[in-house]
Amino acid sequence: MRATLTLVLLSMSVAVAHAQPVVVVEPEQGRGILRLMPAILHDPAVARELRSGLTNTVVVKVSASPEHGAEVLGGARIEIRYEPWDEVYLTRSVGIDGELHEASLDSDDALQSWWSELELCVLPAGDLDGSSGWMLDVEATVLPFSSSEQHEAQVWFTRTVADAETERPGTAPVGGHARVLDVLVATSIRRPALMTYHWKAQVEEAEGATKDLD
Amino acid sequence: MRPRTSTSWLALVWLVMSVLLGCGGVVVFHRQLAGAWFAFGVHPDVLALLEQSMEDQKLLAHDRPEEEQRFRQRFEATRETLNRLHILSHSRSAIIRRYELVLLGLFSGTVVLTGAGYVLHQRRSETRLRGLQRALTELSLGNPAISVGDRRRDTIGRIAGMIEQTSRVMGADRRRLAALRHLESWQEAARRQAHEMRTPLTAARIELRRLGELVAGSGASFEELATQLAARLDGLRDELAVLEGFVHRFSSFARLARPRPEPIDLGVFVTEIRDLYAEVWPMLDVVCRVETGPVVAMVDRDMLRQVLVNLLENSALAIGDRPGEVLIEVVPTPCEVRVDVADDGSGVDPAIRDRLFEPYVTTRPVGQGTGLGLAVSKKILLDHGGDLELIEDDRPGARFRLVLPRRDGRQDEEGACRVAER
Repeated sequence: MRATLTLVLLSMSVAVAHAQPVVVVEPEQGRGILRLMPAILHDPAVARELRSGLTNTVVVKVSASPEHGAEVLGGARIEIRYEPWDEVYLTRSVGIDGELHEASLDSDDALQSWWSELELCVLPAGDLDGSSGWMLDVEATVLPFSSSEQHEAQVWFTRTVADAETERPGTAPVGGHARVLDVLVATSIRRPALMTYHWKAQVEEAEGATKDLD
Repeated sequence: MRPRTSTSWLALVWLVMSVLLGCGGVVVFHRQLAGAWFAFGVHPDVLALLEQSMEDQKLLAHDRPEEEQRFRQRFEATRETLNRLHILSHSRSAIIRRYELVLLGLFSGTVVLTGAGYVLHQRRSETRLRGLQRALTELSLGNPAISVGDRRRDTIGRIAGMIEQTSRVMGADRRRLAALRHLESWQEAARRQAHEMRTPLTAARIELRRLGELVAGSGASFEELATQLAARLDGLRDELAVLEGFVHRFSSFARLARPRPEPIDLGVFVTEIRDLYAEVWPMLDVVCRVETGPVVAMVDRDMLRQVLVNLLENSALAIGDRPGEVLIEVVPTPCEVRVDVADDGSGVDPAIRDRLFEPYVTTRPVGQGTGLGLAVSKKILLDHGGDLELIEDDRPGARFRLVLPRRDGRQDEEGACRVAER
């Protein structure tokens, strides 16, 4: 079914008590398109990390449990990294369709504007047939750095601790217990979620029109 | 027996080990933590300084464009470090939690191992203590060759060694005492036999000497000579009769006949004995206490009479010239019949209680008893399948118990009684 769909996300529960989220999903060419609300970037926990120099990552997960048929899963990912030498934001977004969008934004306003207009393909077309009336679970998790940065930090941590042990005068070489501890500590370096947002969304079918709801 | 000392020592060792392990863990973690956090220096001031350094690099590159490449490299290196410190700042709580979990696991493991070790030690100690208990029981029973088999060098092991050593010493002493007692018994028997034989032999020798003098010529008439000769011969016969009686007693003991048991109502029997011998010991008041109804046992009538007479004679001698009382009590039990003979005399000398039923053991003066009476009585009861015991209690006088197996037609119960006795 190639119909115009409007997914109305009703605000059911939010992890944090900030501004009322307004999220509109517009279908285009039969795909489920999600537009995140600008308030996320204004969240203090998120805003103070935007200029950290690390790759802030927003992971979006969408799931639906129709009465008949298998569970439908979808999602997208957004990366925002501030480049302090050039003083620009480098952004990348990729949806479930695998299409990559990159941008270089030279100011906070440009970032806000880009965010407001960002459209994410979160559900593939085939999964939306007969989806009118579905309830969608939408979850957006903001992570402070990327997995590659996490891995690099783990390696550096382990190497640094080992170097510190061997270079300490009058100490014996590091034994197996210390290596075990290095591994324990290194594996403790994980990406903690800065914020996690949850919404409930209902899929509504609207012929040829887009309807904004809050 | 309470192995408190050994247990306390082991508990102390375990405690010290726990503390050492705990301290070791803390030291290791401290080194790791201190080394890590001081190396990373995630203090906000450090982060601010690094950020300022990056700004400075940018300014320098702006002012000196010809060295931009160098400043850019420094900028990137600083930025890398700053990024890593940012990542560590984000992971700090997770790392601390992991440390705490590992530390908790280490301590928990130590505590569990300590507890398990303590319980294991307690169980082993209990087992070893039971071994000691068994050994002590055997020691109390006089086992001369106890082997506990506990060779450890702790308190319990040393006690086990002491028990084994004590049993060996006791065994050696017991063998030595038995040998001495055996020799003493024979010495006493020889002394009594010599006395018993010497008296009639001396008398016989005197009579023979007088007879010789008489024959040699005393100047008496033939009638007087015949009368004196007959008197001397009578005396000689009397002494030889005494000697014969003495020899007879020993031969009787040596050739004690097997009992020929027959069913006898013991209540009736002891009453007959009392009535029959009432005039023999006029100072004795013999009281019979018997249950109503027949109490039948299979005994040799003559032998049982000999035993009871012997006991009554002993009582009469112990009571002496004063009036005394002897109580004969017949008590039937499901398995046996007990005949208690108790007097109110002077009792049995404690010095000979252990050897009371051995031959030649008596407190009577030499020449007034052979020391065979109780030995013969014991043998008779044993031949009946019963026993003769000295009952030791606080009551005055002597109390003997004749134990006779009850064989009054209850053959079905006999087997059960034997099992119960075992």
